[in-house]
Amino acid sequence: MKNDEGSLGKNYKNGSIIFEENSIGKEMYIILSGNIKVIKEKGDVETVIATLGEGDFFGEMSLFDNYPRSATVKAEGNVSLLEINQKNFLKKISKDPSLAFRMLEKMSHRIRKTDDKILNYIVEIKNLAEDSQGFV
Amino acid sequence: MPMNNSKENSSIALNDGDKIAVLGGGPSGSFFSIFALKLAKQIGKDIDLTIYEHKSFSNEGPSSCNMCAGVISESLVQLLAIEGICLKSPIVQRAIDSYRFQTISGDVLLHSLNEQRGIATVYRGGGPVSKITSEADENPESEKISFDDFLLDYAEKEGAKIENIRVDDVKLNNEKPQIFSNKSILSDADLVVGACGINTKTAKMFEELGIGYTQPSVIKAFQSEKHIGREKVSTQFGNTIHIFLINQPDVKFAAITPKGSYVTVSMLGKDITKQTVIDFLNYPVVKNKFPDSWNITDTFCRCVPKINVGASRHPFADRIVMIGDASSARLYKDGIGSAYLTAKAAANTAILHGVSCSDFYKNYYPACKKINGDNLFGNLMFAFTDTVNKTPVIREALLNILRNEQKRPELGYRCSTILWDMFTGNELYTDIFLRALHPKLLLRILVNIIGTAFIRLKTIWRY
Repeated sequence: MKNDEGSLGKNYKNGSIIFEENSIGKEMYIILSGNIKVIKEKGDVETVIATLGEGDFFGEMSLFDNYPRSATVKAEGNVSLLEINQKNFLKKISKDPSLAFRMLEKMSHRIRKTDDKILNYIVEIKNLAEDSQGFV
Repeated sequence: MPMNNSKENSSIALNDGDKIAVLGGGPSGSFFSIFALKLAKQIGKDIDLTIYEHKSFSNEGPSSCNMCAGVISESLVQLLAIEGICLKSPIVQRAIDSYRFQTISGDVLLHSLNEQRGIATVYRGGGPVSKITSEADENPESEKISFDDFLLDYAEKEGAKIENIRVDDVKLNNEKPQIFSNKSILSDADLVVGACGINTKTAKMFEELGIGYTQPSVIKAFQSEKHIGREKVSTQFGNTIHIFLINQPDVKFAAITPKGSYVTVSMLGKDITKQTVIDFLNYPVVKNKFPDSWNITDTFCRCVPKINVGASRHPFADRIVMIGDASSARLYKDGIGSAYLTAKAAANTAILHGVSCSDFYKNYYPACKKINGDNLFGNLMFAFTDTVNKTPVIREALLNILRNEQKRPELGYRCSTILWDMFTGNELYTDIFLRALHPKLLLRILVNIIGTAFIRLKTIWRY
């Protein structure tokens, strides 16, 4: 970062864990600079399910449903994040509901992307199943 | 309801291809344009929006600057980030995490409870005049440092056209406004947005239009930029804004805001002159903040902006709406936050409801009334601060409470958050006022006042 004194929010170094899957959190984060990786763990296998960059937000799900974090988030390179706590966030939304438009838009994009991914996997599995039947 | 509303209660909707003329490219004009264009896109409406701004914000000095202290509150930084407008260096000159309150009885340092650098200090224009060469080299021309320029670019990316023209007249022709420059018609408009600030020729134009608009009442503030070097700003001021409540005659309060290699000295009060600033800088508690080797130079970048302390009257009519400082602004604080609130309310009204007087009255005016009503509580809070500041026993008692809260978090931060929210512009004055009336806090203040008075009496008795 060229000018650190002008860097808002909190700074994280490459590889730092911002939060872990199943931890309790009452904050959402907006990426001011840098990238983060969203990671899901199953057994010993770590899978990067998304990489987010400047202007993206994460951690918002726990703010709405009060459930533990659904994934682990790690800094990829140096990252600056603006943290917004649940109370402040809900206060802002209740004063100006139109603030939720952009979040809903981004969340809709994510659901569409996930739908596409699921569809691709289903098609792939079907093709594999058909191929294996043909082989038998 | 404002006059010149021919068809009361009727709505005038904007249609595809309709023209919006935004007079002024400061934060309120840019915010309006960003929100109106985004919303129009979302609902599939095609509007033709032009911002008319004769200034270039990239030049140095007051002529290119919209003259304010350049502090963006924590709350606004967060709101903008949620909207997708992320502020970062070099637009952010310094990220702030604390405020130091200096009185003649001592000082107290308050940190942000969010434990992050959440407040931004910015230059509105291209920076102070006579900016030294070494600093100019740090920010090459390609890197803009003006906050106003940054927002204007953002509005342009959203689809606004920017015209570097001074609009010098607005007329109503068959109920539709027309805008003029150098006596020639520039354009008809389906909506004219007055984002021109206060006490400008443009604002005067709207007063003469016969719609009943009157500008808000104002007082003068004094801003000046002092160069002390980036390293010294870091060591002497750090990421802290210093507020001075030192009972200097005619001064309500003064603040020193660190930015890059400069600090901005802001003073609010009656008839503040260059000499008042020099006297302020010579106060021992102020002088101590500056490096020993630093001397007050004879020439420094300074300006005397007017800030509104009242509400405008009739800030809208059919196809006309005034926003930002030209409409309503929060008392003494968070001018950019007020620009955001009024601009967003006006943009939502214009795109979702309509542009008639009745549309603005129903959907835009409540946002202005909320700010104006809140300022009544702001006046009470600042009157209380004046009283505290002028009464040594109460001043010392409150300093004790604040210091205890900082040392012992288990006491809670009731008093600290009140002072923090009041001077950072983070919360509505109404909320702060109600929190100040909490019985536990009042009791703690009373106990501390009695304790401080007792210690003072004991000292007098001894001598």
